[in-house]
Amino acid sequence: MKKIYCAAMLLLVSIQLQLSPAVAGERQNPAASIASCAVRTSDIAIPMTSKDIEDIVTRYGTDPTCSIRLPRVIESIFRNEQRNEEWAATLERIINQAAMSHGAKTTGICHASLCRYEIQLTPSVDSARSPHAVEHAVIAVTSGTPHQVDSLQSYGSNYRFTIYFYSTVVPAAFLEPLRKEMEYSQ
Amino acid sequence: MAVINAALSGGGSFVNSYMQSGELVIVVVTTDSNGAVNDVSYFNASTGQPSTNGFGMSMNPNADQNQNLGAFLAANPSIAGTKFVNPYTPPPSN
Repeated sequence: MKKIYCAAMLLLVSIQLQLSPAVAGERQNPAASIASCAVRTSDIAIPMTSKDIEDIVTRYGTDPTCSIRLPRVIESIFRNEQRNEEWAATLERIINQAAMSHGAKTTGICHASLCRYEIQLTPSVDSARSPHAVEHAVIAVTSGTPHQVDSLQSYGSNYRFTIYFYSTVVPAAFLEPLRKEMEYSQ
Repeated sequence: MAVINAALSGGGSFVNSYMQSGELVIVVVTTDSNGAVNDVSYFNASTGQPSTNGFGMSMNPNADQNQNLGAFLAANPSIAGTKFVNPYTPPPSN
C-alpha cells in the first residue's frame, strides 16, 4: 500500500512540475493563449512619422488574426504606462469638452501615449448615425498638434463602449511594446 | 441590423465580411464627405450589433493613406482580401 501511495505522490509531483512553467508563462503573458498575429511591420523599422504609427496600428486592427489579440495587449500596455502630466491633462480636457458638446458621458484617464475612456451615448437618431462623433471631434482638434491621436473602440453595446486614444506623434511610448507583444511574444 | 444600416447611411463606403471565432463579422469602412476614410467598424452579422471581436477604429482623415478609399484598402489588404459577400452601393449623391 505504501509503495502505491509513494508512486502516486511521485506521479502527482512530476505532473505538477511539468505544468508549472506553462501556467506561470500564461499568467505573465495573458495574450499568449490567443492565436498568432500574422501581421509583420518590419518594413517600418523605425517609425518616423505619424503615418507610420497609424499604419502599424491599422494593420493590426484590420487583420482578423491580430485584431482579436489587440484589445488585451493595448489594455496591458495602458496599465503599465506612467502618466505624463502635460500630455495627459491636455488630452483629458479636450476629450471631456468633446464629450460634453455631444451629450455623452465619459469617464477615463490618459497616461503617456494612451488614454482609456468609457463612453455612454444618449440614444438618439444622431448618436445611432454617428456613434464616433466624440472621437472624430478629438481627432480633428488634436490634428497637427503634439497631442495628435487616433482611436480604437471596444464595444459593450451600441451606446456604451470603451475608447482607447493613442498618440500618433513620434515617439509614441506604446508603439514598441505593442509591436513586441503583437509580433514577437506568441 | 439597425446599427449596420445607421453606419451605412452615415457614409458607409465599403462592406466586406469574414468568419472569426465562429462569428460572421461584417466590416464597414466609412468615409467623410470628401471621401477620406475615418472609421472602420465591425458588426456581428447575426445580431447586427457591434462585434465584440477586436476593435473598431477611428482615424485622422487627413493622413496620407486615408485620403481615398482605394489607397486605404491597398495599405490594409486584410479588409479587401477576404471574401466579398455583401457588396454595398452607396446611394446616389444629390
